[in-house]
Amino acid sequence: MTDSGVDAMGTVRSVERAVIERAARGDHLAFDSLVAARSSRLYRTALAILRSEADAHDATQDAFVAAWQHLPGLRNPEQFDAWLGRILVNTCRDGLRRRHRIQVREIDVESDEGSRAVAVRDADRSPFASAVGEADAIRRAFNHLGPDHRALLALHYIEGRPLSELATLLSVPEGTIKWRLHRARAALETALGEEDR
Amino acid sequence: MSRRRPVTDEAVRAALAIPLRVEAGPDLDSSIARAIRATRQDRPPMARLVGLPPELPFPSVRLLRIGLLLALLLAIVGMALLVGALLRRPLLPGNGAIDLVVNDRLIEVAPNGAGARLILPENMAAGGPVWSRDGSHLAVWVRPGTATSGTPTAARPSISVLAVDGATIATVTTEQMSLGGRAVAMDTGTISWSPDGTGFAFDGAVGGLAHLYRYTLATGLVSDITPARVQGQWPAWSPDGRLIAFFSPQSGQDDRVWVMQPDGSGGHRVGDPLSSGLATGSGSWAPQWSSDSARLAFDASNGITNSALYVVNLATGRQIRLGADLRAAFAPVWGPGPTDLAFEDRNGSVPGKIDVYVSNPDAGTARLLLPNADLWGWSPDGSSLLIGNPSCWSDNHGMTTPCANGLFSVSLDGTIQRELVSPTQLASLAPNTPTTVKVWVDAAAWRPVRP
Repeated sequence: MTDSGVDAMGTVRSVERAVIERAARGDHLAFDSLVAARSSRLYRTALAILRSEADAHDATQDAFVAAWQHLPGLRNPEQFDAWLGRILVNTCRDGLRRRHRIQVREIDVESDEGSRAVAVRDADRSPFASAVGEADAIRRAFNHLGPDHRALLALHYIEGRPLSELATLLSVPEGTIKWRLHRARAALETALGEEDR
Repeated sequence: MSRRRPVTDEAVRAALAIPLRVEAGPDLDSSIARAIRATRQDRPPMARLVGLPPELPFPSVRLLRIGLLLALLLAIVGMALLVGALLRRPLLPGNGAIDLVVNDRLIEVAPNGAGARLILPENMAAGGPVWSRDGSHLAVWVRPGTATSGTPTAARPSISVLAVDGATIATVTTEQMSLGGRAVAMDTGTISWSPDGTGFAFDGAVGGLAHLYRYTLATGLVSDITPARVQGQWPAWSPDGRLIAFFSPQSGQDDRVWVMQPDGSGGHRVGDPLSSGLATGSGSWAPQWSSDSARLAFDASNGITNSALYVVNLATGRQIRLGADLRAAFAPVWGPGPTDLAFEDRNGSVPGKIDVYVSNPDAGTARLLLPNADLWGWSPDGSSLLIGNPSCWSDNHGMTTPCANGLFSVSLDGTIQRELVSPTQLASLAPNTPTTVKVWVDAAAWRPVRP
C-alpha cells in the first residue's frame, strides 16, 4: 500500500481503466493494446467452444470488432473483461448456430465426409477402443451438442471457470448456471451413448 | 430410446483440452487492428441525440446525460408548478386607464397618471363608475349639474354606458325604468356588470322601496329582478355569472346577505344572522365576491360608529368575522386572488379618518397597510391598490372640512407608493368652491385590459 492509499493492483486497474476510456473515445492504439493483452486468451476460449481454429479466429475477431463498436456505450469500464467475455460467448454461439444450419444443409451420409464419419464411429465401437478412442468419442459427442451446452461445458471444463464466474459472465444466477451445467453434462452423456450405438 | 453413458469430469477435461501449443496466430491481432480501423464506433444514444462529436470524453457524455436528465426533471417540475399556478389563478388582465370621480367630475388618467382629462361635459355630475370585466365598457351614474355648480341633486339620474374612447353608446334613463307606470327614483347606488359584459345589474327605488334591475346592452331593455316580497339593493354579480348577491333592507329580524339567480329567481339568505344592532346595506358598499365566486365579503354597521366585516362561504354556509379587534371595519374589496382582501377601518389612527388594511381571510389575519387613506380598489393585475391619500372621508360625509387628496398606486406591502394624480392636478380639473372645500377622489375604477 502506498502513501496515497493506492495499491499496486489498484494502480494497474487505474491504468487499465484509462486505456479503456481512451479506447472508448476512439483511440485505436489504446484498443490495440487491449487486444494484445487478451486476444490469445479469448482465442483459446473460442477454440474450446467451436473446436475449429478458423472459426475461433473469426469469432475472436468478430468479438473484438463488436466490442470496439459498442465500447462508448459501456457504462462501467471496470466491467470491460466480463463484458468482452459475454460478447465472445455470444459470438461463438451465433457462429455455432450458423455452422449447424450449414451442416444440416451440406452433410450427406453418402458423401465422402459422411462415410469417414461412419468409419470412425465404427472404429470407436470396438471393444478394444483405447483411451484415445474414448477422447475422440467425447469430442464427437461434444460436437453434436447445441451451442449453449457447448459454450457452458467449454467454459467450465476447459477454461476452468467456476460457477460464480460463469454466473457473472452470462448474467444469470449461480443456481441457474448449476442447473444448465447439469443439463449440458447430461446432454453430453446422452450424445456419448448415441456414439456407442 | 437414447441411452446415457456416464463419463468422468477428468475424461471430459482431457478430451476437450486445448493443447498449450495452440495459440492465436500472429495475424489475429493485426487483422483485428485492420478490422476496427474499418469500423466506426457507436456513440451512446444521448450523445447521438445531442450531436456530440465522437472525440468528446466518455465521462463528459455521462455527466451530460445526468445533467440533461436533471434539466428534464426540473423542466417537468417547473411545468407542473406553472400549470398548477395557472389553473389555480386565471390569467390576470393588465392595467388600463383609471376613471375617477372628483367633485362629481369624471376624470380619466393613464395608468401612469399622465394625460388627466374630463370625460363628461362640465354640466354633468358623475358617480360610481364601473368597468365591465373585459374593459370594453364603462357604466357610470350621471345627472345634470355638479356639486361645484350647486345644481340641486333632485334631478333624476341616469346611467351612461361609455366606450373606451369616452363616447356614450347607451343611456339608461328614468323613463326606461318606469315599470308598471310608476316613476322610478333612482339611487346613485351600485352597478355590477355581468362577467360576460352583456349587461349589468343596478339598484333603484319605486315608491320608496329598494328594487334591483337588470339591463341588457344589446336590447336596451330593463327588467325588475327584485325577488317577490323583498326589497333589494347593492347588487353584485358573481364572477362565474351564476348568482347576484344583494342586501335586503327590510329583512330586519333576520338580516343576512342574499343571493339569487340573475333572472331574480331563487332568492335566499346565506350565512348567519348578524350581531345585534348591526344591519346590512347601511354602509356604502355592495357585497363583494371573491374571484372564485366561492365567498362573499360584506360589512354591516349600526349606522353610527360601529361596523363589522364578514366573509361567508357559500358552499358551507360558514360565516366568519374579520378584524374582530377593529371596531369599525368596512368596505371590503377582493383582489384577483381568492385570498386577497383589502378593507377599511373607519376608526382610524387619525381621528375621523380611515386606515386601509390587507387581509387573508383564510388565515384570519389583517395587516395595516396605510393609515389615513381611502381605499378605491385593486389594480386589475392584482399588484397594487388604488388609494386616495390622505383620507378625505369623514363620518358625516360633509364637504365642510377642507381636504385635498391625490390618487396613489400602493404596492401590497406598502413599500411602493406612486402618486398617479396630484391634488393640484385634480383641483385644476374639478375645482372646489366655497361650498365644496374638498378636492376628494370619491370613486375610482381601474380599467382591465386583455393580457
